[in-house]
Amino acid sequence: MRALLLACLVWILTIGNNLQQPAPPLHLSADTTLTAGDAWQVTIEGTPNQSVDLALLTGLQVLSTTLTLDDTGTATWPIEAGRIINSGTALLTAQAGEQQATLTLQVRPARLQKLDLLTAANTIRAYAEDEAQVIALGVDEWGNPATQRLSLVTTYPQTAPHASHIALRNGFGWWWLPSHSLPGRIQVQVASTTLVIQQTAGTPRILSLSLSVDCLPLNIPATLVVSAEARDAYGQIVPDGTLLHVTWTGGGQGWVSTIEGRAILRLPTPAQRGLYRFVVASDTYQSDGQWLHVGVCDEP
Amino acid sequence: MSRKAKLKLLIFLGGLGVSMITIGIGLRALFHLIASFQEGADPDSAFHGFTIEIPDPDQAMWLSTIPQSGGKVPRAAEQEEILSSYWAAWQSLSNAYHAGNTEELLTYWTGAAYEQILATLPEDIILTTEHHQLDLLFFSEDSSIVRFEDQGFTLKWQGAGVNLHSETTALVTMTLDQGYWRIRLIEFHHRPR
Repeated sequence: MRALLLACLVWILTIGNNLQQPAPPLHLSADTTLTAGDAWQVTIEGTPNQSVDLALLTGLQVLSTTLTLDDTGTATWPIEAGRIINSGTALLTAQAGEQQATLTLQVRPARLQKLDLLTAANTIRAYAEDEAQVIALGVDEWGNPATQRLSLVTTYPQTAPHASHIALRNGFGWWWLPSHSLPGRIQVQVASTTLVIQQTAGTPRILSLSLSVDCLPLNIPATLVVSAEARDAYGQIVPDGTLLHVTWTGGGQGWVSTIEGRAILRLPTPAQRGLYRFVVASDTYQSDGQWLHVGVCDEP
Repeated sequence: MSRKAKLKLLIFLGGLGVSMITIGIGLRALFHLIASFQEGADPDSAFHGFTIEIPDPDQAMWLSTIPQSGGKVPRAAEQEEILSSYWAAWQSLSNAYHAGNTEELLTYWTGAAYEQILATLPEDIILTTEHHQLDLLFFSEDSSIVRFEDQGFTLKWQGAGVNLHSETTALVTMTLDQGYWRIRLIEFHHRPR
């Protein structure tokens, strides 16, 4: 009977003791921000001598370990530099039996290391009549999208360099680059990366045409050379490859492509005697007419 | 008609019949050949075997295709191509994690994102994701760069003694390279489920 009472007493004391001292919950403490690539450590607190599984999900990488808490219920997980390299929000999970604790960690990207400048248009029309979309993609030494304010230097043809800034957020920045001044190269420089965009003349507005001769004798084989020149509204030669339409009396026509603003069309002598008027045109703009007489030509 | 003449006539008729059949088969084969030349190439062959597989909505879907931070709205076909490639990128990653098959990674991952994946590639991990919801941030004028946020998808990581679930948001930049949309930049933000 006495032994039974003693056993009951021990049991009550044990339960009571347990009720008075519940197992401390798992607790994680650490700096919650760091720069990618830096060393970091987390302190785990819980029941003394408890085994805790830890897993840190950073980017698509998982770092894991199992620690045993010491007699004071504490342990530290040091992670050396170069292990946590993915920027973003990392998630640390600690598990000890049914107990679980989590902690989120903000990982900042390191300094910008590599920048790509891309454009949606390699050529734009000059004279502030056009614009190009420029896109910057930048990463740090770990390949993380970098966030940084960057100096931008833009140099237009025949003008002094113009300095400004762009904001790179999460590895990305974009802006409209307006055209300016005369045809030529626009140079865009951000950090050590350079992008070149070609600024071209406009469409043909000023057209002229000349003939190699003004008279060709009928029935004598000869070649007529038709030369056309095209300039834009500002008097600049149009871009290479601009198509011009040459027409002449009787329904004759031909297409020519410019090189350095000029184009040439070679034609045989027309089969019929008469006066032929030649014109070069582009869109709704055309040159003055030039006349060719086919028949009996005066001796020079 | 003599028997000899009858025999000759029979042989002639027999020979004529065989010749007609042979000519018929020959002409049929010739017409078939001509027809096959006129059909042109198999359209599928022009796409290097790449087919667009649209994921189920519970796998991946567009939440919004209005660019939040500039650029133009992608056409419906472009939206499908991007969504399909993004989902394929996750499938290629799962294959690489589980079976070590990294061949497909280069099709859907490029640049810094590809190098990050390769640098931290684990072995024998089951990586599954679902409920990718894409919110368009930017689409370039020349339809070659897209940026979007993949909001709160489910990520499960199992293997090597670790079993993790997270609700993850990803900031993604993809570029169109030789006909394929590829993930070029990506940043993850995990939170507990």
